[in-house]
Amino acid sequence: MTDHLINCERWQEPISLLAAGCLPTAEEAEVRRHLAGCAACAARFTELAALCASVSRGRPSAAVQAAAIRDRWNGAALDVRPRRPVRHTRSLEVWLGGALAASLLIAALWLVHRRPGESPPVLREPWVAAGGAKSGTERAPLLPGPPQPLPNAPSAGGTQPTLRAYELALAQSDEAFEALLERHGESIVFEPYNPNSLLQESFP
Amino acid sequence: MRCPLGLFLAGLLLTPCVAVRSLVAADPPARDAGASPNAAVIYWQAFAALPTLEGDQKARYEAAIKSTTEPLGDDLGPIVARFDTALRELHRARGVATCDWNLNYDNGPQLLLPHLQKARDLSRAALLRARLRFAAQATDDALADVAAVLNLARDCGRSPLLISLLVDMAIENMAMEVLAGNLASLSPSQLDRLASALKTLPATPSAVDCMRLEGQIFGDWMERFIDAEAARLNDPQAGGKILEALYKQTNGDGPNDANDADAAQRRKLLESVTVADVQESLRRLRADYAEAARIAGLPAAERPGRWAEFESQLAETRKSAQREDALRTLSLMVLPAIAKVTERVDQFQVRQQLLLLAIQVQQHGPDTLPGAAVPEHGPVEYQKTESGFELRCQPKSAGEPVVLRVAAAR
Repeated sequence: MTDHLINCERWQEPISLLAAGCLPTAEEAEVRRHLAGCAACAARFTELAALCASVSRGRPSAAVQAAAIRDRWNGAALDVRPRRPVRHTRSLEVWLGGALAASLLIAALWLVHRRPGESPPVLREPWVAAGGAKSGTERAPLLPGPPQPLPNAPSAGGTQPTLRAYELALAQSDEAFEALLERHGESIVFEPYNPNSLLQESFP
Repeated sequence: MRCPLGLFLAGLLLTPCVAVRSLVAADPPARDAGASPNAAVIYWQAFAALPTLEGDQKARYEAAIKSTTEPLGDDLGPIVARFDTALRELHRARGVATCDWNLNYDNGPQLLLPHLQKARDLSRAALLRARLRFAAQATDDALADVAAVLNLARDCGRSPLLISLLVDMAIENMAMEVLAGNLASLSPSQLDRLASALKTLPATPSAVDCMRLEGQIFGDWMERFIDAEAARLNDPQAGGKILEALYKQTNGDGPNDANDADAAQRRKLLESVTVADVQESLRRLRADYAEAARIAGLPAAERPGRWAEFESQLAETRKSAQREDALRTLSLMVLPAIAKVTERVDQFQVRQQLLLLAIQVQQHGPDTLPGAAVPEHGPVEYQKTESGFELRCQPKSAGEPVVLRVAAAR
């Protein structure tokens, strides 16, 4: 393990990034070549990729609980530190510890929010029974915060009429309601679709 | 770089992307959502594909969509062809049962409804193409266009909001006019299919459903607003300030007092109300929404009288200087024009029934009509006209009779 860490030290970061899907494409081929020839790094990569996939799926299995993640992180840190004495400063250690704790806290909150085994969230549009007799609304899983005051309510920003703006226009007259709808429609403009320009912007 | 740091970096990169997004986003994870088709997403692709017409094309197109019955010139073909992509998406959406516009109901009165006018624009284009297809005897294709429009209208109306309901009805009314103008060109089997398609369109919420939901989302939004303002001001006597802020958020520039006396009375009221008063006013607003929903659910014949009574009671509180009446201030501020909407709903339901009866006349002749009536409203009158025939019925709650004009075969 120690030999592996010494020999493959430079690969650890790109392997972590590759597992997280954050490695630049240009560097990917080189890393994959190394993985093909290094069993230890390949095993490390498989382990990390599985962990990242579990987290990013948004539906953690029972094996990926907050405690398991915490143990995994801590275990990884404990596993390495004694073997690779490092020349980092105290402040770096504190910073790393704090940031790690913060990320674990976020992950734990997320796990609490997405209970294991919970079915995927249903669409939030109110459900209407056949015949239109009943309806209910799926509430957001977390309580919304206090409403944010809008500068130009009820037509936020002056271009996007709100439900309230429509109701005021309706109360005023049919013409006012119609005019607001028309104006609203004109305010939503899509740029003409141009595949060539999209390609040029993406790959200059 | 060391291994733990690499791991940590990967974690740090992932957690904001996944965990935090999960906390704040209303959408389910993309991977799961991909498995459930949603017509709204397809409609938005259709909206994005709507062409921007200019100059002469724009003028000719706008003139053509002003009416749903005027004869169309051949020169419209190339203009309508520019809508092909958008209309292809419209038809694709028709095959998807689920439609969720993902509206943010937590925004209460500040809820945005950007799809409604786009849906009207798309419907107008589809109905114009349907008319061109009817004129070219391509009746199956024309009917498919109209059916797709009716589906889009219902998908708009699925959100239990009065405004969505109104837009749904407006689009369906346009589609019904196109159908009435072309019933005579349909074969018996097409008439059969049309009648069953009309009867099996997706259900939409009623005006009662809309009032209940609006009462809930407006009430919840206001409750959060009042609580936040009360905490910020930290003064139990600051009810007036909260009301003023609330008014600005829901009605824009500020109260429109009818005269100086009203303005003076309102100022006096604002000085005296407490936070507890505002909370009580909100409780009454919720009760008024519930009462409005109850009235909306009454039989059409009873409704106009009850509306008049309810609205005059509410209007009286505007003039009153009593504290009890002052507590209806939020109701005065935000209750929508529900009587107007329910009147439209009645007219729309009558029109729907008249269209079904018109199909029946087209299939079996006018002799099948005597005794026909629209439930809850009244008898249907048939009258032959120079250009075809018309069916007429007087809704119980609306002043004007609904008339459906059906064109004879060309």
